Amino acid sequence: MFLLIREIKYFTNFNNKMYQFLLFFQPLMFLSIVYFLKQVRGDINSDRFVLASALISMWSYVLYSSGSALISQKWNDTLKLLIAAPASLFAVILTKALSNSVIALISMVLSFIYARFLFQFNIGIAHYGYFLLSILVLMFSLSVVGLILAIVFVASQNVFDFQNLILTPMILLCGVFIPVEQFPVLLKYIAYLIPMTWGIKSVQETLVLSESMFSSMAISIAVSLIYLILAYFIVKKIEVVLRKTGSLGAI
Amino acid sequence: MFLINKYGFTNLSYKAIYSFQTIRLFILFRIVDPFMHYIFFATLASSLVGSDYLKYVVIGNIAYYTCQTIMINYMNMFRMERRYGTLELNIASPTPTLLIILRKGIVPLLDGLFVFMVGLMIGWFLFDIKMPAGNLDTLLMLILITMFSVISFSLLFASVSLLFSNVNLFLNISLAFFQVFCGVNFSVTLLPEPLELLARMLPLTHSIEALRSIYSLENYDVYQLLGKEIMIGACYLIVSVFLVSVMEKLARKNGALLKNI
Repeated sequence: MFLLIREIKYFTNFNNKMYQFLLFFQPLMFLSIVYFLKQVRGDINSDRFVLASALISMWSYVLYSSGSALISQKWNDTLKLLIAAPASLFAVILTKALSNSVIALISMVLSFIYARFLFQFNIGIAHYGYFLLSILVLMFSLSVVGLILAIVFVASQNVFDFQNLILTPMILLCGVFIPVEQFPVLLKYIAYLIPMTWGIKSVQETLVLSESMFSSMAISIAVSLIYLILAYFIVKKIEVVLRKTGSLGAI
Repeated sequence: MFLINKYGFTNLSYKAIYSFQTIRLFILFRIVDPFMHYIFFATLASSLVGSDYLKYVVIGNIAYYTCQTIMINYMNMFRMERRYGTLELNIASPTPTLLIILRKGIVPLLDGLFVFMVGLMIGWFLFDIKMPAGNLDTLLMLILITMFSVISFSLLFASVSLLFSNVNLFLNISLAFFQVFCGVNFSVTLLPEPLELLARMLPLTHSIEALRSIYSLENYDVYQLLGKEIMIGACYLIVSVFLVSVMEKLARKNGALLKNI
């Protein structure tokens, strides 16, 4: 908890201009596009697209921040301190991933504020309690995805170079715009393997109080837990290799 | 002539500071990335408005991505020169600064041209946006004029970006601004009047309308739009040439070019 608070305090000084854009300006851009596209056809239910704007910003933030969580430690020359610290590397990375998803939540809140007060969109949250619950589930899945990103980016220098390339495909694949059920079979199975897909699905279902919202939340938690356990063992392995050889993949 | 081209300033500059120099990176960032960009906005717009709107959005984004490519790369070249401390050397050299800057612009221009052409191909094969058979000469003219106005604006943009210590935020906000105000995803006529006026002062707005008209997705007078685009490009070129000459004079006077930022 102490680490988490320190991480959030460190990242919320917003010195990084990239994060300023992702958290504050990107939702504005997408909401503007939704606002004017809505004028092309007036009968659009905009709730799903306000949520989509928020999800895009949240995912972008998690991708860039969690993805570079460990590499940036190497750039700052603090990675060796992390390895030598009494806290386990897994706890450190998980804390970073958790703090990033908490900060990503800022962009969701901001998106809703922009949507309601600047663009006068009606955000149809039917039940605030369930909505909050689904957001917590989404944050958990985002944290796990962030954790996996941090590991994948460490394993290969090349992946880190190409993080821009996975930004938009993941949004499309997780069903932000088009429901995953409408995908071709192969894509559908791939999408269902991503924990974020279930988190996003549960939030979307909570907006309309769908009957399957609780099962989506349960599946999201279950899938995320599987990845979390997997990530635990991989990070333990990384820690051993780092202590033994002093280098691994990109670090 | 071949040797001058091979070992000339443009080539050296490209080798030294340009981002994408391998075939693999080129394919990924000049074909795959724009393709994902088009799919992303096409999906957004078609899920929001309907699939009949898909072509309209893809065409807008092909022009936008070209503009983005040129702007980012032109600005990056300036940024790299500044980072490596060679920006002042450009000014101190006997070659006129403007000539140096224009030569540096050749690679981003060719890069943008490639992205534009590939974009139109992607539109043709994947989004069924058929090439306008009878209007190919107009299309070629539009591509050249768009390139001119965008590179003129990029020159101004890159010069102004030197004023910022960290240009990332400035760049991202500018690109988001273009995405919203240049009629990329929706017609600028939907904007409130003052904003539409602003949009019509930007490069790309008229080009996108003309491009859609060539592809019969809108019904505007293409030549009139292209005339306006040339005028806008010329205005940006004049302002940026003036700005560059002022910066050059200041740099010669102070012995440094924005070094303390």
